[in-house]
Amino acid sequence: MARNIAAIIALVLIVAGGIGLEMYSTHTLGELETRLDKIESNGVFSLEKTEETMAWWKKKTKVLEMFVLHEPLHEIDLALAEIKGAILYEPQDAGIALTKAKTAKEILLERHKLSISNVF
Amino acid sequence: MAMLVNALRAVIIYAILILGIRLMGKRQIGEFQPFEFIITLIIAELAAVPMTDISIPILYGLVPIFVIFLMHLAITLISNKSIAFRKVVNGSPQIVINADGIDSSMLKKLNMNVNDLLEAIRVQGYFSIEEVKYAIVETNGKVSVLPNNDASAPSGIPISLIVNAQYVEKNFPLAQIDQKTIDDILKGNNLSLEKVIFMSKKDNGFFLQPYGAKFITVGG
Repeated sequence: MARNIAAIIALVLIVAGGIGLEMYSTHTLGELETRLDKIESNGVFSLEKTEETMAWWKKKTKVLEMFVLHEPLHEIDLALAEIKGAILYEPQDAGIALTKAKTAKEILLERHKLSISNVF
Repeated sequence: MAMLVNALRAVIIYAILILGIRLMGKRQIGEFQPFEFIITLIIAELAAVPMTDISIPILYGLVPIFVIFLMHLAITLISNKSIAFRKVVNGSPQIVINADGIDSSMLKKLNMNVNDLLEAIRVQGYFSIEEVKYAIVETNGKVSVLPNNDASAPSGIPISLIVNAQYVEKNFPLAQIDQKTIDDILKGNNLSLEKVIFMSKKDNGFFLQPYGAKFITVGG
């Protein structure tokens, strides 16, 4: 009986946890997209917004690292650092760095979402 | 996100491993039921991956372990309630030695050969097929034996002369016999090499087991 209860709890935790984490991740990456969009306005890249996004992402990474592979998360770290570096030293490359960050986010989202291609 | 993907992948891999083990036959299993064997195979590996690589969240190891625990429990529960399901997952015991001797078609079905069978009955303390009335390969791969009380134990170890329709030539000097004598014995019983799954020399006689027919004892 105790084993059956443990099994039901485990099943509920896996399903609820899986759905909860999926919602959290999707929401977080959606917010990252919004923040990335705000970095550039009319061809001008904001250093302040970039640093804000980096600080925000650092906090979010601490949570995401508990259930997402670390490597793709750190690819976004690197992409954000590239945006900052480009704004400071090579503004003409800032657009490329921003695209890179958005792509890294997309890859992370695709790689971890519940889909037939990911299951198989 | 990856948690549900991991859980589903664990279910699929577990099911495929059970199917694979069932298709392999019984001899690979040892002391476990097929689904228990799967667990011992993969749990350690699942635990080791996040243990050794800190860039992998611990959930990547824990979720599949819990999923396998759930699958195990579900299979156990359903097996206890349904004989048909138990048969699908665990298989059923199979008789490999009966009143006619070795059942070669059953051996083939179980992916066993004569040497495996002889080894299994020797482990049980029987050195010749005649000493065994029935031998049953259990669902865990072990062989249970019902002894034939009418047959006497051989005074020496029986020597295999033909196994799976092939001469065991290295044993001929040991049995002090040549191929011609064996062929004569076969001919005397209207048999040819390709019709014999097993032949051995026991004391002063011979044991002949044709494919799909009752065994024959010669001399002794």
